[in-house]
Amino acid sequence: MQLGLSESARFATAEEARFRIAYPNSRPRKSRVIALDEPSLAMLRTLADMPWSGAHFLRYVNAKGATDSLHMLPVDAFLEDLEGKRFSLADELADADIIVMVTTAGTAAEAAEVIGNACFVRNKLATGLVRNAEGISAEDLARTLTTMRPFAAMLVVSNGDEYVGEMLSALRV
Amino acid sequence: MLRKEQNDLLTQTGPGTPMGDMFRCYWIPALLAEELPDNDCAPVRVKLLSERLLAFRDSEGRYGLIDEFCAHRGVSLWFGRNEQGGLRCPYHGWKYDHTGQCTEVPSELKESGYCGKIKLKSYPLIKIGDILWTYMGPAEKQPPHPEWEFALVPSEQTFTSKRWQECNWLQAMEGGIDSSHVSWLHSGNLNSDPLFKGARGNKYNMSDARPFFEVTDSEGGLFIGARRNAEEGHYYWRVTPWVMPSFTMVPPRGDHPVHGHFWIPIDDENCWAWSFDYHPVRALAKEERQAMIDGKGIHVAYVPGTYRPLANKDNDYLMDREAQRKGITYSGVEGIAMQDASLQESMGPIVDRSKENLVSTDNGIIMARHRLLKAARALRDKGVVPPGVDPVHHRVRSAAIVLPVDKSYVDVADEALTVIEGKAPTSV
Repeated sequence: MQLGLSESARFATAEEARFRIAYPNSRPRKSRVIALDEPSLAMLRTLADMPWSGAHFLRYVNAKGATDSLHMLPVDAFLEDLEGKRFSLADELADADIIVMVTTAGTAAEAAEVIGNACFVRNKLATGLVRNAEGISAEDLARTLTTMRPFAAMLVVSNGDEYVGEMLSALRV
Repeated sequence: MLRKEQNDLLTQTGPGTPMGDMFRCYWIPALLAEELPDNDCAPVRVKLLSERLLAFRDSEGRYGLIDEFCAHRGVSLWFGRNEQGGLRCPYHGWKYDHTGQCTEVPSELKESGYCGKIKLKSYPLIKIGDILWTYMGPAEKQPPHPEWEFALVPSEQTFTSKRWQECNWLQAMEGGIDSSHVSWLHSGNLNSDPLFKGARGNKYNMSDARPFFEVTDSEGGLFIGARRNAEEGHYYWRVTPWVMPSFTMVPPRGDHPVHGHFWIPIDDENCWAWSFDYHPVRALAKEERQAMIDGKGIHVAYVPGTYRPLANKDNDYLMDREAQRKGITYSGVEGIAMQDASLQESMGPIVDRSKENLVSTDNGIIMARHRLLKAARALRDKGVVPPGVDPVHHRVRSAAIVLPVDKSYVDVADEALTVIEGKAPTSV
């Protein structure tokens, strides 16, 4: 440490960076990554074997009506994990920190609306990742975006599949 | 979060590194034209992409950007005499022209042709707008000249400054695509800075601190849209274009000039933050230009005689805790540029991104890193020219717009986010 300099000058050096505390500064997040259509599910399958921090990879199956125990939800839905085991959307959202919906442009309007509504009434922020590709019309893309827009705090349109893994990794799911 | 090898790849820009090779595909800002104001004026030391260079303007007005050091004994040519069509080393009189070609070695017989065998590395240096631009890549791959609108409008419509930022280029640049910090860090300035205040959009910014975001790929990089609530049935969108590798524009406010940045590596622990303000269809008012010279808006006041900000890490950025407490400034640091730079420099020279905890609203940053990594690898492995080299990619604008809830900025991109000569910016 060089004396005589300001605190900012002394502490913003590479040398001082070595003394940053080396303990974890976060606990694992509870992440739900939900494919809304078949191509997105196939893509999630290719990612599932990577080392994640407990992410739950799921697919949307269909909507189901609200039950007495789910007064706050206008709708609930069935989800399945990659082994085909069924889960309730309401249960999955209950303690989720990160919710990512993955879909292909032009598809999955109903699924996005159901999950988006469920997140909204539970005050959860969802991320929508729309996979765009050559051959998909601007109208199809716009329709998917319009459906997801009200419910997704972050909406990403990605050309190419590799971004999905990059984003999930960056978010530590 | 980035793994160490990803972080290293993105932050290292010296010769032979993947990201360094990528930066060497572009025309990049090297100096302000004001730094070489006259023929035969004093030469200027320039360090770019970890290379020590020297810029000068010869007797005929030709610009040169050459290796800083004399090929004879390694003396810095900053001490050289700029005279009679070249730069002469004061040690033994060796002389170089603007291409780095040695034209005289006084100790050798002229007939020997010895000087013809001596040539310093040089790069082209051209003036477009208020900036001298250089291209540091292979000569055979030199792209067409840049076509950024701020540099092409008449000089009375534009103003550019630069400031030394004491950290890696990437953490500085990432601030430029991180729209969500504006409602916090710069909240004290939106209604007081002469280059920001008075815009209708400011009230939307201040009343909705949790914007929704949409990020879309563009050919040259990204568009990052931040959506806030406006009047019933409408959203207020602020759209930031990012063009690879390091150009961003801030969405406009009212009829104020539009501003933006380049972040150019000096070396891996320092960068130049280039800041420009321009108006596509009118001259800057005298008061606006004076405010920029005085360091308002995104510009800074300097340590006299330098391009180092007056508020810098050596004086703790003139931190004012009383102003922080009163909310005059949110962080206690005065001025938008130094509010950003102070925090970015506090991360350390090269931030360790393996420890960060990004959230979904950081997707603009995540996607920009992804695009940079992908392009750097494609260049390294397959020689693919990266996005942002083609001047067509330069012809973008930022926008601020109120739209009905069923419309997105993507729907109006052609009109609002593309340069249309003679058309005013889309702004609220």
